[in-house]
Amino acid sequence: MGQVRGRPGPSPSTTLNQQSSEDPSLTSKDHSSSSNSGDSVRNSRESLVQGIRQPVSQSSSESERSRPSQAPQVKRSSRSEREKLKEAHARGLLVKYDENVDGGYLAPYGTYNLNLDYQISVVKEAIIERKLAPFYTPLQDFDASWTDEDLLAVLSNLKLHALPHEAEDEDEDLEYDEASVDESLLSKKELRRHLSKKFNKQLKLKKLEWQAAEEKRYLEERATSRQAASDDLKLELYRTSVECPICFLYYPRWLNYSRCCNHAICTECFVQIKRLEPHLPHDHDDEGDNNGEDQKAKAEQDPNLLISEYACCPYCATPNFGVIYSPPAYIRTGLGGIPPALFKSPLKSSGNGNITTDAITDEEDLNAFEVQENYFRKASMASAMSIATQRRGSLPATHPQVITTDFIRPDWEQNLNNARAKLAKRAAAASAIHASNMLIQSNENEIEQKMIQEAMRLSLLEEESRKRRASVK
Amino acid sequence: MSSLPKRIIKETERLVSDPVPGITAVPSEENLRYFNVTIEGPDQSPYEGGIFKLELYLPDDYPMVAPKVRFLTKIYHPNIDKLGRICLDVLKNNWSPALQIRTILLSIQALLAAPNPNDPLANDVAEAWLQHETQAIETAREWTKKYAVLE
Ligand SMILES: [Zn+2]
Ligand SMILES: [Zn+2]
Repeated sequence: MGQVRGRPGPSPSTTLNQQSSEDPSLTSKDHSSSSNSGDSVRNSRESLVQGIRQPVSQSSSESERSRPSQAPQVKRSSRSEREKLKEAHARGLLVKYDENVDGGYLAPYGTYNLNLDYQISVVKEAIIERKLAPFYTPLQDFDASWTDEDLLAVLSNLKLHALPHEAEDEDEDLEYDEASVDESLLSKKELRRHLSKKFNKQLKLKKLEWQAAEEKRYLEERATSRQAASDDLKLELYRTSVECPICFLYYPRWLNYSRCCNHAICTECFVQIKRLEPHLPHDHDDEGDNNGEDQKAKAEQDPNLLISEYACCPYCATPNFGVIYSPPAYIRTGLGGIPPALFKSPLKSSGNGNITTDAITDEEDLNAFEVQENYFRKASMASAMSIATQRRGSLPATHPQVITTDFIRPDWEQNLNNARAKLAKRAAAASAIHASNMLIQSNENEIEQKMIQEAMRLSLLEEESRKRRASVK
Repeated sequence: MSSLPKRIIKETERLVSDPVPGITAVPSEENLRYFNVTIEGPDQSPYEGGIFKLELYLPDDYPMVAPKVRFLTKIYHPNIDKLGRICLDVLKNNWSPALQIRTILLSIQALLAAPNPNDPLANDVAEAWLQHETQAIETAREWTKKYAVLE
């Protein structure tokens, strides 16, 4: 079972502040795009580092975990708090062209619509620190025989994000017709459901709008912005694209590699991999026969039985999946590097002393440019290419260069405690009913007994479904 | 649904261009996530000579979750129940997104070649298998002839 690692938190990155202050236009733009909820967009700048200092509930010890009946209460946050968190999360998933690292981005392209509940701040920091590959825009197809012109043509047609998906037409959330509902006629329960559906729909619409605004900004600004990749950078990255073995999409060859067996995985696939929901240890599958019922009954007696297991390596099934990443030695652009528009291919620029510097406008950039030149001198292409393949053998999950699935979803333990607490409460309620049934049975009024039982059953059902909804954050 | 993930498109293409011996998997025209599958019973197994129909469905979050697979042809096997559901670890908690439709179907074919009555889904069949193996194998053969051999 899970050993909590004493990994030091990522250090705050100064480049973050720099980045967001370069980007003052966003706030007003976002305002115009979703005027109905002013305060929700006020802090658009926060989206870059959304929750970056969010406290992580990693402190509980082994002993706490073995006594889940005393697990911390499921924290009940208000609807508006939860909605704010969801909205902030959605903002953190936007791809913005000027939040880039080595030609990739801080948020996923959108190959997957689900399972995006990883901790955004942790992933963004890991990318900025070059411990995790950035989210590169994938190529759907790639042919090594393409000319540079072919490749550039393909690359210039890429969007930042896959949105809108064609499947959006059939999206249940978007189909919800909130206008036809008279809120004053709803019961408390119905109102809760209605409000949640309404919120989900609005958030989805906002996401579409926000990302569309980012695409537009990218198209308008990329010709002149220093934060848009130069052709040299694009070619350097995609000239030797490789296929991710899980999504079958093509990426620059600097991918993440599994710590255990050194297989490639793109960042978008990596953030998909997570622990299964807390479950009972089954030597067997619950589907067949009455096995499942037995197990459920057992678990109600002892919620301790619920477990959460490490996610395993998709390639070799080693528990506690983690990856390492070796960034390209001669490309360091965007956050923590030079502006990507200024990147020149080392092969082209070497031997030719007069690099065009008209794009360079201030001293900061000149310095950055020298930094890049240093990179070129130190790292020959050949040595850079061998970095990813240099490693032999496996690395432990605790190695400082390893990013594990638990590291980017530190809430797994809270989830387990919540699941156990919920089960314990249900068991307690069930035995209370049992006790009162015993009392009633000694009383001989059968009609009364039935009425009470029914009332209790109903209130229990109500309570359970309330809890269920409350737990769906 | 017109936007199919590249992975599903490529898997489908490769299933056609490089088919697995003894296995076919053809996507339905209406829903490209739904496959009509056939698996030939392995040689020297009680399923030899039979052609078993299955259905395979790729859920929305495939490949992060396993495909859903079910036998449509009746089969007498300790790890396959009356409804055609299959007890196979890689279809459940041991699924990995690095596995594919191809590898899953091969695993099912292997399960036909090597039934595992110690980890049963169909308890009655498993019991028969453990206690009267010869007879159970004979029944499996009969069912194969009756349900899985095309006239
Ligand atoms: Zn991938
Ligand atoms: Zn591995």
